[in-house]
Amino acid sequence: MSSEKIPQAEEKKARVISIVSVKGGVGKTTVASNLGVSLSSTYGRKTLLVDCDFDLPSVGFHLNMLDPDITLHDVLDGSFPLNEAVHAHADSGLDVILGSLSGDSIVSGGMADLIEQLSGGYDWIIIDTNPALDQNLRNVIKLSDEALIISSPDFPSISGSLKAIKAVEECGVKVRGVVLNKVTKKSYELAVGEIEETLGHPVISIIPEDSKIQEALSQRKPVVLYAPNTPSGKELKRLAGTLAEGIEPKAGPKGVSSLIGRLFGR
Amino acid sequence: MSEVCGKVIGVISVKGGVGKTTTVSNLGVILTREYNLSCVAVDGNISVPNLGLHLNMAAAENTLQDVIEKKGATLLDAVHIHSSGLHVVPGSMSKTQIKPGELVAKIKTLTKKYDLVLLDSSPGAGYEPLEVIECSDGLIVLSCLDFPSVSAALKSIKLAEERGKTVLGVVLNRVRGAGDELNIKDVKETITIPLLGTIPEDNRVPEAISRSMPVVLCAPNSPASKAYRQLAANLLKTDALKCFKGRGGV
Repeated sequence: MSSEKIPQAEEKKARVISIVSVKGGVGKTTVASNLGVSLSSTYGRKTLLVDCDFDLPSVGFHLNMLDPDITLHDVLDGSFPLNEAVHAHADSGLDVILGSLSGDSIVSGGMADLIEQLSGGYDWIIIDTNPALDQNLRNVIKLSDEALIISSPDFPSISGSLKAIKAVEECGVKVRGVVLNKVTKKSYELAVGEIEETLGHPVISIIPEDSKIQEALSQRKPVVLYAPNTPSGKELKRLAGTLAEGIEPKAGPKGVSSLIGRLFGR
Repeated sequence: MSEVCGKVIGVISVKGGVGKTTTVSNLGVILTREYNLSCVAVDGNISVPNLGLHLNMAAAENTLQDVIEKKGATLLDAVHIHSSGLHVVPGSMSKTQIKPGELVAKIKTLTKKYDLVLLDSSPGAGYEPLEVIECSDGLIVLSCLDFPSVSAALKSIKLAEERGKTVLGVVLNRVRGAGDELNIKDVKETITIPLLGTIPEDNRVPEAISRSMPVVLCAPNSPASKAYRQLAANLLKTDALKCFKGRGGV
């Protein structure tokens, strides 16, 4: 699975991918942290994870990087230079820029410069985002080359995903695809085909509901390290592999879904 | 009925997916049907409203956003009646913004008419949840038993208290009783706010949402439904709601 990366002589530019959902609690930070860790440790890609949930940064809880001395907030308000806010995740080699839990919610102005400065040093920059559909989120999306939409297979999440996709497309950014998380395959869940038709984008990963994810979070370890062979861990690694190997997702589905009617009364 | 109590209770959490909308819809139905209070549930999640999806009213015309931007209209014009008897002000699926301050300005038309206004909120700490906090006489903070959501609960409590608002209590949701969860006693000590309710993880909740029904109607005897009834009883015992004494079934 892992492939050798030949160091590039010419100047490289990171691929920037933001992890987006405007319905909270669907697993943005879980996906962001596991992709980051897999890209660096399994696939050897130089990767940076930036916590741009300015209201409630939680990457630190997932990677056991609590109480960082210098945060994104400190860089954005000009107190510290950018390079001092980059912390290495001890277990994987992933670089991380954390947010401040105590700092006030701030605006995302200044992020564009930061990403530009960082871009040369990495293969991938992963941006975790906040769940509110606000200007901060739009500003962060605009810095990305593409966005991954995280959803779970229920009406409120799919309705949120429709809004997230609209926001991403209005920003002129490509939707890479939809990651369906917490999938139980219970009869009342929405079917994958129906979700693809409703959202107009392919579901590129189906992560099963897995108690190991909660256990991993309680140990502040990403599941790909805590329980790499659990179903969710394997799928997250596979998804990271598609990014690392540049495997493009299949084209979006065509057709009109009956769900739209239930969501919008049309 | 004599005069109404006119209290606004906001349901908040900076973290999403902890059960704000599920709590609003189930509490609203219980207080209406089992306590005979005049109750209206309002979707204060302006950008991504969900309350209508939980109550099968997603396609409603005259939403909160519609009446707020329409001159001369009041929130009463956006009230829809759910089959349970609960009154509901759903949000718009297409209009994602209102002017900050508008909800605070317009909520009074509801407090003059209802005993209780239950206000759902968006996650985050932007103008939408702050508007909900400003509107509210008391707040309920939702959390699950993990670090990110407890840290969100602490931030939510801070946001409310900084604005001089009373947090009535915390509701712990999706409690599994599993070894990886934070200990309830530790969480109570950390957040120093009364515990109003503990809702167990229960498959009947997502199943009810898939049917666009509150679980208390869909599966009234399920563990989650029983816990929501206990939450309603505890809520009505709080000082902020003592005006309900002697009304309806209280």
